[in-house]
Amino acid sequence: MARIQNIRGLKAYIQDIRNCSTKEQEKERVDKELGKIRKKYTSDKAMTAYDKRKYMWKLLYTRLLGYDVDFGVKNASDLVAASGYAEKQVGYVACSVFLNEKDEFLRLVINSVRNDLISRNEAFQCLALDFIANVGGSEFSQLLTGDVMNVLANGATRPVVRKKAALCLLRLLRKAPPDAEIMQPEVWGVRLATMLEERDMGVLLGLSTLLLGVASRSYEGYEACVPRIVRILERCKQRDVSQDYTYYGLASTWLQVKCLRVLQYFPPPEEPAVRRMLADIVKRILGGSEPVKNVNKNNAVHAIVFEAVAVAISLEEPELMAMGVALLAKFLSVREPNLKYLALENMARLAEVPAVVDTVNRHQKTILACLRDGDVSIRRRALDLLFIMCTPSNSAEIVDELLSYLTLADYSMREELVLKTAVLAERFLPSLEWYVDSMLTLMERAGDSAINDLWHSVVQLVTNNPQLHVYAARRCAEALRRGASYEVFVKCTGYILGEYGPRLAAAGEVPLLEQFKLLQERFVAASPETKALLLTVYEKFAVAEPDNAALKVAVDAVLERYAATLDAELAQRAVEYRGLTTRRAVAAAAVQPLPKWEKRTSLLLRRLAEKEGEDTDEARERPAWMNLPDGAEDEAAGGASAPPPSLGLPGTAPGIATAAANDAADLLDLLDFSDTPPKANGTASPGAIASPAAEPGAHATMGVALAAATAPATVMDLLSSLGSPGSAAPQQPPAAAANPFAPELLPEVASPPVPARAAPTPPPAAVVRPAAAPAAAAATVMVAADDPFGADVFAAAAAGPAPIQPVGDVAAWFHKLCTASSGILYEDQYMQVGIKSQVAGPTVQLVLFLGNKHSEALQQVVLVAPPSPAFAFQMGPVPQQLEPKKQVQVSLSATCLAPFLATPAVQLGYSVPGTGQVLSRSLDLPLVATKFCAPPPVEVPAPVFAQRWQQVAGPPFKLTERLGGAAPAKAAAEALLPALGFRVLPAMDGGSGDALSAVCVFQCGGAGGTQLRQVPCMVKLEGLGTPAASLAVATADATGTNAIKQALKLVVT
Amino acid sequence: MIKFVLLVNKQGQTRLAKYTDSSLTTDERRALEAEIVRKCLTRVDKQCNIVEHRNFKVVYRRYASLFFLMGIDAEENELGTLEMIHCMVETLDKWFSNVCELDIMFSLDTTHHIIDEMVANGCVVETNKANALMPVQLLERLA
Repeated sequence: MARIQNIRGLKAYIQDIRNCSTKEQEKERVDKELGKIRKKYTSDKAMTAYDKRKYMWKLLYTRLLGYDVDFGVKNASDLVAASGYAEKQVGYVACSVFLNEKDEFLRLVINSVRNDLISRNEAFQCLALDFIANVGGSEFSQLLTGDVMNVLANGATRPVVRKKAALCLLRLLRKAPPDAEIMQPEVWGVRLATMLEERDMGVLLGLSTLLLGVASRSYEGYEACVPRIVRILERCKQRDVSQDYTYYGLASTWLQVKCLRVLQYFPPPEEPAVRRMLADIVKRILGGSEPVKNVNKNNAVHAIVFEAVAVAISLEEPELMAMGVALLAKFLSVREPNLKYLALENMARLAEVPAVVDTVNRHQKTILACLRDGDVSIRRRALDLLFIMCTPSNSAEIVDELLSYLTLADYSMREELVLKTAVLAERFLPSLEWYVDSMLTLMERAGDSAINDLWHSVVQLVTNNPQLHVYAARRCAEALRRGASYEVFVKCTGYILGEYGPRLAAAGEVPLLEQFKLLQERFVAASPETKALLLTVYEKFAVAEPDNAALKVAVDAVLERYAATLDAELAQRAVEYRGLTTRRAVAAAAVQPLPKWEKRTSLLLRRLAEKEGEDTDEARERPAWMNLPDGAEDEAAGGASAPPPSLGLPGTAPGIATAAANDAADLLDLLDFSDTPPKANGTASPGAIASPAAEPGAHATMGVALAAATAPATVMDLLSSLGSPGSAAPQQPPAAAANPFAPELLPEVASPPVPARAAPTPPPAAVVRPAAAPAAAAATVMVAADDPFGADVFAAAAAGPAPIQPVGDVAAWFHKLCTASSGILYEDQYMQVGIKSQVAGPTVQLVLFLGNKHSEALQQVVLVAPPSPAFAFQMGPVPQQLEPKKQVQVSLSATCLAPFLATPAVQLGYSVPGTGQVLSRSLDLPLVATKFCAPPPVEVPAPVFAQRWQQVAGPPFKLTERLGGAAPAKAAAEALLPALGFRVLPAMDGGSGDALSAVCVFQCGGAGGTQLRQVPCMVKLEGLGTPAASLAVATADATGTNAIKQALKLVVT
Repeated sequence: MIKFVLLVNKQGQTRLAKYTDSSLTTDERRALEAEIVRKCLTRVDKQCNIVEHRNFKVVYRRYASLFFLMGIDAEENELGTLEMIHCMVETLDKWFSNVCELDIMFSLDTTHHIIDEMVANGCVVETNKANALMPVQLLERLA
């Protein structure tokens, strides 16, 4: 057939683009074309219909190339309203490409669309229906549903139009507000059933699609349609359709597929005749599934067969079911990959049907073989099916198989495989020992695909089952001997050996020294987090066998080396453990085994739920329709798995261990009350009652003592005082020792890490629980980068609803910024705010740099400048969300309107999604009065200055203030003042060498309806460099005098 | 539901893209296309025509240098979609007589029109080739 509508200009444009060899050339060509089109559109000359179409197609083509086209929408909507078909058609295509359903511009076309919809021209009606079906939103739904229904119900309308009306109605139905009932089942149930009597296949396809959409919400009221659908299928089987709708000898494949799908949403038909007819149809379909040569025909046939299998199973007739399941099994072993894929998929879909379960189990071998298929799609399906079909009886075999497959699996599905294997092992565990073995193997083989949740799960289970303790330790030692050294694996084995290794050694199996060596081999390459854990493990070894000299030497060597390491956390641990080893009695009391863990929901299941719907290898920003509503679930899960209050905790270690753990919790909690005055030796602090929320932290501690001290200023002090107060309470990664599983569970373990770690510690919280330490055990808390459980948890656990604290000295930064034009304004653990300023008369152009330091996006970022009487602010756009490790710039222009005393401020706020913490803080902008000072345009001779100075009356226009010893030397002041916009006068009075005079003009106004003002200002500094230094300021404006005096004082001292 | 129809050549250049969900920004589309194309183009003939991506499936088919891809959700039949692609190609073939990449590039408007006629709102509307070609014929008569 011929080519239509040869638009030459368009062809030339496409040709040009094609000839571009580089992206830059292409961009240049596109920009040129867009410029030309824009000019055409804005010129007054009327365009011909041909030109209008041509330019619109060019825009469309440009858009298709991936360039943003930000104009032309108005022209497109004009084209929709045009009278010719060709123009209208372009207009509709353009509108559907440029606009989406939420676009305001849609209002422009809605009238034209409606006119076309109710016009008598079928071609126009089709265009309008297509457009609504592709773009229509809720507004269209409200305005046009009635019209579309009329078109659909009108028997006189041609099928071409009616089939589109059916789809269009489906769109409007989906877009309608949830409460609006557009299609009442009592009316439409019958109406749709009547319509399904239609002869035309196109209309039937449209109607069955509509019915599918309706039934997928609720089939009730539409039961009358079922017999009609069955009859349509019967018609298709009889080939009672026109040649046009025959596809490779099959009557409209897609209509059959649709009808069979619809039937899956309904219960099996009640009427015996209909049921028989359906069963007969299904039987014929299933019977005729022999593979054929022609690929297309083969596909078409099997498209129908797979749907028929699902219907067969839903009919619950044994004979059909058997046929269906047998077919699936047959497809499983065919060579044709599509059939294999779909067989796996459908088996998973129908896995809860008992008949399918049997078959699936019989073909377990084949399915396992699919895991090694060359096609990743098939491997994925196989894994999915194995995961679903796993039962207590076959779980051991499947998990073993998955474990052996793990070594071969490709990276794109490894993570999923690891997680699913772990979940299966956890869900079905035939025996606890088997579980430990499998998980160790899993961690050995998974390498870096393993996640922390894995070893957390193992540790939880082992700790809670005393009979496993020695067994697990033995297996760990064996596994270590085999040589793996992945992080997660080392953490798990380290933890278990730390707890139960000494018992293994006591049983004479693996000496502690050897255990130590096994771990130490991996120590050097481990991450700081793992090292921290291992240090604690070594300490436990050393305490467990105090008389083992060789061990002691080895451990001491490590501790000594790490006492001087750069990593503050490791160094602190090493130093403190060294201190402990010298005091055996203290150490023995302090280092205790961990108590049992609370029961909580499976971490792995939670993690899996999070992962569902998210591709393992690329989970980037997903459009809305790809998102699962998983956020809400997460929160629910988090809430549900919160552990119960701790006091009834079943302790394994009697007495002191439990108490020790509880103590750790107290400490955690106490961090909250860091302003509580420190209690001298040992009265219980009121804050010492652990809050339930802090409890998981106690579990997480490795049960080592909390170093105690009443008021230590530094770590060293802490240690030196260790001996004196007597025994020590548990120590360890307090604040941070977060619960490994759910950072959000710890909202109340709140303490900013920094203040506690900084050398001049805030008054340490003193804690004593009588049960734990009768003598006195006060403690400083070493805030640790959370030992067993990951630094990220630490950040989360450390804060909670307590305010996020700045790291660093905000006041010092501010002071620096008063003279500097750029620097840091504010910083906390999540965000850093930098600032850069440029002064132009009374206006300062500021750029604020908001940087996200966190690994997650910060939400609800707010930055506002509250109105101030002395300033006019203009702020650039602030993004709602700050991507991880990203920085955004926000411009802020501040114009000083009048002299001011209070420094203006901006409000900064954001929330941390992971922890629910919210920051809201007012940041003082470094806009002090001197920022608005400029040297006067003319020289001021010294005598004039003296005269003017005399003329200014005393306070409030002339103010003097003593600077005291903080004043700078004369040379420094002389250098500083010009930088602040002052002009320093040559020395006057001839005499005193420690005085300076300077002048400047303070500028304000000129915006917000105020006049530009220039306030001349005189400054005298006297007695510089001596304790008697003073500062005097004189202006004609009382506030101005005060403001400049304050600012100068701030800057020069 | 058909989420998108994509025509991509062997070099990975998009020749035509139609999305049912029009809320994606240009950048999101480009990213999505790049990811899918990377996954599909590396596959060999022996492998199945279905690739999972994020939480939907991509059904694709190769014709000489041109790949036709459709993104579908769980409600759509995979083999049906595969044949829908073929039906679409046959329709284009009927119009252009031996359709090739250049036809689609230079007669973008017609291609769009034909595909619109066959798939709308993520559903199959028309599988009858004559019917699908009716509007373009109408346009031709007008021209």
